[in-house]
Amino acid sequence: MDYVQRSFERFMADEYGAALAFARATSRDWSEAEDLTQDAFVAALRNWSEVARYERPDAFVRRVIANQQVSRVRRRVREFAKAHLVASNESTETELGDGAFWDAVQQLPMRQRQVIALHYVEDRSVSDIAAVLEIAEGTVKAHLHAARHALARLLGDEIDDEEGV
Amino acid sequence: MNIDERGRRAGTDLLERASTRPIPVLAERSATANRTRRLSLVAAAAAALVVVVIGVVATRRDDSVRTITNLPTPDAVQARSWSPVGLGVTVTVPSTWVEGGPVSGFRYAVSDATRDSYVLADRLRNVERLDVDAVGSSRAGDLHSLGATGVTTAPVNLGGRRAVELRYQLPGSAGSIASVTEYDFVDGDWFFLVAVGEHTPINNNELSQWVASTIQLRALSTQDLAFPTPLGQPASPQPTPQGIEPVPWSPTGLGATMQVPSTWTDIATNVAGFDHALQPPGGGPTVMASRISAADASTRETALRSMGADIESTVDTTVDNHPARAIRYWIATPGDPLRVTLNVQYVIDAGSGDDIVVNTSELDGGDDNSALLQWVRSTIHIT
Repeated sequence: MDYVQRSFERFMADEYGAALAFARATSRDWSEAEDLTQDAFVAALRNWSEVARYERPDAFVRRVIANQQVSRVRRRVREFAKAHLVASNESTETELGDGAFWDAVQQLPMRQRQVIALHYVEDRSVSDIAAVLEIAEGTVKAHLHAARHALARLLGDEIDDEEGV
Repeated sequence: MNIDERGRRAGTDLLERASTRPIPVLAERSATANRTRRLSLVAAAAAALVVVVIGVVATRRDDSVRTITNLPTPDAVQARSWSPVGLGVTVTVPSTWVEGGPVSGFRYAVSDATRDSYVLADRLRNVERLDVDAVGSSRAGDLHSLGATGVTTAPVNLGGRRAVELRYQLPGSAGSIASVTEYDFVDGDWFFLVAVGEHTPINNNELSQWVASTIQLRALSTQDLAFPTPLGQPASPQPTPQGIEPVPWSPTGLGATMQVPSTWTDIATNVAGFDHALQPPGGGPTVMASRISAADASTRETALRSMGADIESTVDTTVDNHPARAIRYWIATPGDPLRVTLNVQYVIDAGSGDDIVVNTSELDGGDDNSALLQWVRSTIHIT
């Protein structure tokens, strides 16, 4: 194993869990999340000589996951009915703890799911989320605002308007 | 419970659960890579050049800016200018070449009779205001995901403008290979893709190089910028397009009904935040609808802009005799700035304190579904 590969292995060991959590928070199940995460690390490995020089290689992995999710959403449209049946047979609660919360997240548009995941799972700041997803900070704030209000409405929870955005 | 406390607790719990999952070994990752590649090739075979995905693959890049000079017309070639309305690009081609299109996701095409040598071109909205190098880079990523090989990018000056030159090969029909040199430009609100290609084993390299050297952007006229359909609802329902079997679509709780093709199916209820959505099996033009509060309706344009929409125009109109606003806008797919949809949205005062939003969407470039979507919009009836 050469130095470049060892360096990648260390990066993957450090980052895999958080990247997987991000993917899981925005996907239907662990299988899809693991598939997305593995593909993202494969992309990082293929380009490791360049990615390793990035200030934030972890952002690269999240971005690949986010981009893949957009294309998968398009493919998934065809299998929506079937997927819905599969999802209804899963117990989100036993899988994910607060199943009602994650079920509500699944009701949001994809970009809002991604912003919520980066905000709540990884506790990233607005500027950090903007950098990861390569979108404007104002857009992050708008997504976060809309998503938090939608979640509060769906779950009957209280919301503090001063929080986050 | 407070939503932020709940979200953080759920997030921490999920992070812990994810951290206990096994990290895959390299062999498993290689298998995943192979599967991803097969998917890309399938996507390539399915066509649409201006389609999709991830830009994370190695592309050879040359950073010095080369100037491409206008080459003399090859011997025995009679030249003519090709400058289709709507494109904003002028190219000199052999006089025997004929126009076609849309082809492979490009709206404009001209080729020789055998279609072995051709130019494909399109003008698309630069919603995210990318510079030309970012367009070239994003395009290279899309091409990789479509199965293109040997992709190289280089900055060039062509026709007096800075452009990015991409060279690549794509699998064609019957085992042939399309060898393509593409020039991407940015000008104001638009980006332009002009691809000069030929199928192997044909070798018209001299001809292709000459054609490519003549590419020039031209000023866009009012006629170029015109849309194929008006923004407001037609005064009466349009005739059903040929080959379409219409069925009524009346989503529960919407308070409106409209005619749609019988083959279209319901898709995810949260597509782009809408409660209801329909599109053909396999994707394509989409009709989305929601019922919203009058307060949300009054700030619709602001909400669209906050989501990254590039609003072309808004007009006050009526839909089925109800006051309405019609909004035409482009929006880029998150993470895929070259995949842009053109949308027409009606925000209709339903007269009960609520508004009904009906949004039609089609890919900017590629097949023109504007007449089909205008027909759908023309049949909206408030119930």
